[in-house]
Amino acid sequence: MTTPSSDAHLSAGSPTDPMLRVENLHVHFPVKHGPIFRKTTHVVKAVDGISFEINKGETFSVVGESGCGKSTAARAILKVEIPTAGSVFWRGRDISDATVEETRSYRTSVQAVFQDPFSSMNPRMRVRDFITEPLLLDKSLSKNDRHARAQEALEQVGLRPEDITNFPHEFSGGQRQRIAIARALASSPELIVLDEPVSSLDVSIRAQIMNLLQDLQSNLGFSYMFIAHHLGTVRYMSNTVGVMYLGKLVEFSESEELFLHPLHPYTQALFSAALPDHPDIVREQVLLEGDVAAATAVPSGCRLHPRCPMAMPHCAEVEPEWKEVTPGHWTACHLY
Amino acid sequence: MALLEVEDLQTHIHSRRSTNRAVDGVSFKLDAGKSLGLVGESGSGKSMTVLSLLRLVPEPAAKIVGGHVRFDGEDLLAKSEKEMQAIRGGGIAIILQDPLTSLNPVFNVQYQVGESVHLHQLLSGQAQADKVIESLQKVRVPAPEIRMKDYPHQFSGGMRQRVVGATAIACQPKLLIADEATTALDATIQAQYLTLLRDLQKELNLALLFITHDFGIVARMCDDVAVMYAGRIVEFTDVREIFNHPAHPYSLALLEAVPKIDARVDRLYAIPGVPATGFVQVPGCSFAPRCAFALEKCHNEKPPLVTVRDNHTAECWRAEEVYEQGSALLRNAPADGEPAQSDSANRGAD
Repeated sequence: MTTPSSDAHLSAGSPTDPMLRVENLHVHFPVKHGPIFRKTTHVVKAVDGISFEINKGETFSVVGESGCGKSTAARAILKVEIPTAGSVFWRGRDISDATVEETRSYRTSVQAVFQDPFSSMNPRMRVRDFITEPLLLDKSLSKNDRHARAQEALEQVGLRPEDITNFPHEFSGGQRQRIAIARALASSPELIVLDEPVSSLDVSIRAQIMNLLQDLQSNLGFSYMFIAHHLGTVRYMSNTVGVMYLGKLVEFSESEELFLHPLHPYTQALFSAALPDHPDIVREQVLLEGDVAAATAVPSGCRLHPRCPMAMPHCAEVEPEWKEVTPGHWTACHLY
Repeated sequence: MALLEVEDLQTHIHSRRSTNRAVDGVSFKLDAGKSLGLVGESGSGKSMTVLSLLRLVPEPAAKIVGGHVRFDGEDLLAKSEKEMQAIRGGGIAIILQDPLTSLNPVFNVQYQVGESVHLHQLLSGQAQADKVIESLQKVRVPAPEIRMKDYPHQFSGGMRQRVVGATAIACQPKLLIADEATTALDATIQAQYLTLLRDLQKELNLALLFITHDFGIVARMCDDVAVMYAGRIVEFTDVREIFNHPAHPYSLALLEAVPKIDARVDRLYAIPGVPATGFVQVPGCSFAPRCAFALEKCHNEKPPLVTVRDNHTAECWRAEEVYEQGSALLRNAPADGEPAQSDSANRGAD
C-alpha cells in the first residue's frame, strides 16, 4: 500500500523508500507573447503540486478528464518535462540532480507505452530497430544480444520472433500495441508508464492487451503507472488510484475502496457520469456545472468550487488540505 | 409502420485487387420516437450502413449493390440526387464524432446553423436568425443571441458538439443519427450531451440511431440494439435482452470483454484474433474463427437466422444454447484468447 505524503522527509537511498516517490511536483508552462521581448502573459499550470508513491509490483492509476495534467505528470516522471518545482525520487534519489550515468540507468528502468500505436512508431523503421533502439543505451550489449532480447520480448507479448524484420504497417492496431509493449519489456524495466494504452483499440482487442499487461506484471514483477479515463479499465487494472482535477490530486486510495466509497465531489461526479454496465443501473446524478476551467486561470480556493454542487462559501477562499480521511484514503475537500 | 426500414442492404467497396463487402445484407427497423443502437467494432460496417442510408457512400469505389431503404414510406435508394439533398439535413440529420471537422473554422455559428435552415426551409434574414437562436436554445447553448456570432474555436469541445446538434435539429428531422457522437468528449461532458439528446428525443419525437462501439451508450440510451460483425447484423433485440441473455457468441464475448465499473472483475474474457472484415469471404460464419463455441459446421455452412424469443434474433447455429446458458458456457470454453498472429488474412483489418 502506498501512502502519499506532502511533507518532505528525504533520506536518500534508504531501503525502506518506495520505488518511486513524487513530491509536490509542479510543471508550469509559460505562455509568451510579443515579437521581440517575449513577455510571459500567463502560465499554464498543468501539474500544480502532486505527491504520490509507487511501490514495486503495483499498479498506480491516474484518472481525470483531458487537460487535468495526468499525461504531463507522466512526462515529468519520464524526465521528458523538467519540473518547475518539486521532485521525483527514484529509490530515494532525486532524478533531477542525477549524474549522466544514473540518468542513463534510470531511463532504462522506466519505460513508456503510449496511446496511439500508429503515431508512436516510425513507419520506416523495422520492428527490430524499433525494439532495440532503447537497448543502445546499454553499451555492454552486442548487436546479437540486442537482437536476441528483441526476439524474446516479441515472444513475451505473443508475437512471432520472425516478425522482427517486418514494418509497422504490416500489423494491426492491437499488434502494434504489443510491439510497443515489447519495446518497453526489452530493457527489463522496473516501472512502465502506460499512457492510455488501450483507448485507441477495439473493444475485443482491449481485453487482450489488458490481460497481457496483467500477465506480464505477475510474471516479471514490475510496476505500472497507468493513465486512463475509462473507469472500468482503471478498476480492472489498479491497486491504487489517484484522481486528478486541474493539475491537483483530489483523491487517492486503494482501488476498491475508491470505487466503493468515493469521497470527493469530483470523484463522485466522475463516477455518476460513467456509462452504466447494464440498462438497469441508474446512477445517482452528481452533475457538475459547466466546463473545466482553463489551466491558465485556476479558480481560487478549491479549484472545483465554481462547478461543485456541494460548494460552501469558504471553498472559494481556502484551498482544502490534503488529508487522510480513513486509513489509506486521502482527499482534499472541505467536507471532510 | 416503421419510420426507417432497411432490408437486405448491400454495399460493396471495390479496389483493384479485391472487393470488401462492407455491408453484406443488413436489415433492421426503427420506429418513430424510438432509439436503436448499432454496435460493432471498427470495420464491422456500421458507419458504411449509415452512409448507405444517406446515399453518401464514396462512389465510385463503393456502391450500394442491393437492398431497400424505406424512410417515412419512401424508397431512398430510388430517389434522385436532388431529392436526397432535401432528405439529408431535412428528414434525416447526422451528428459525427469530431465537431471540429464538422464545423468550418472560417464561418461563424450563425452562418453554419443558418445554412441548413436557409436550404431546407428557404428562410433568410430575421426569420433565419430567429430559427438559429431557437435551435441553439434547444441544445442549451447559453446566450444564443450573442454566442451565434462566435466562431467554432471560441467554443469548448462539449459546446461545439452542441452547435453541431443545433445544426442537425434546426430543420425538425424525424431521424437523428449519432455516429460515435460522444466518443471524443470527456466523461462528464458526454453525460451532459447524452442527457440533452434524451431530452431532445422526447421534445421533438425524434428517432435516434446510435452508431457506437460502447455498450455503455446502448445501456443508457437505446430501446433496441443491433450487433454488427463483418458487415452483418448478427443479433437484434431490445436492450435488456442483450445484457441479460445475449444469444450470439460475439455479443456475449463482447459484453464479457468490457471491464465493469460497478463490480470487480478478476479476469476479462479476451476474444482471440482480430475482427474479420468484408474482404475475406468464408463459407461459414465469419465469427467462427474467433468463436469459443464453434462447431465443425460453423466453418462450413452459413448460420441460420434464429428467432430465440419475440423480438430477439441471432444468426448462429447455437443461438438457443448461448441464450440459455450465457456466460456459464463461455467459462467452460477454452480460456483466454490466443494472441493475434500476423497471418495474412487479417492484414486487411486496419
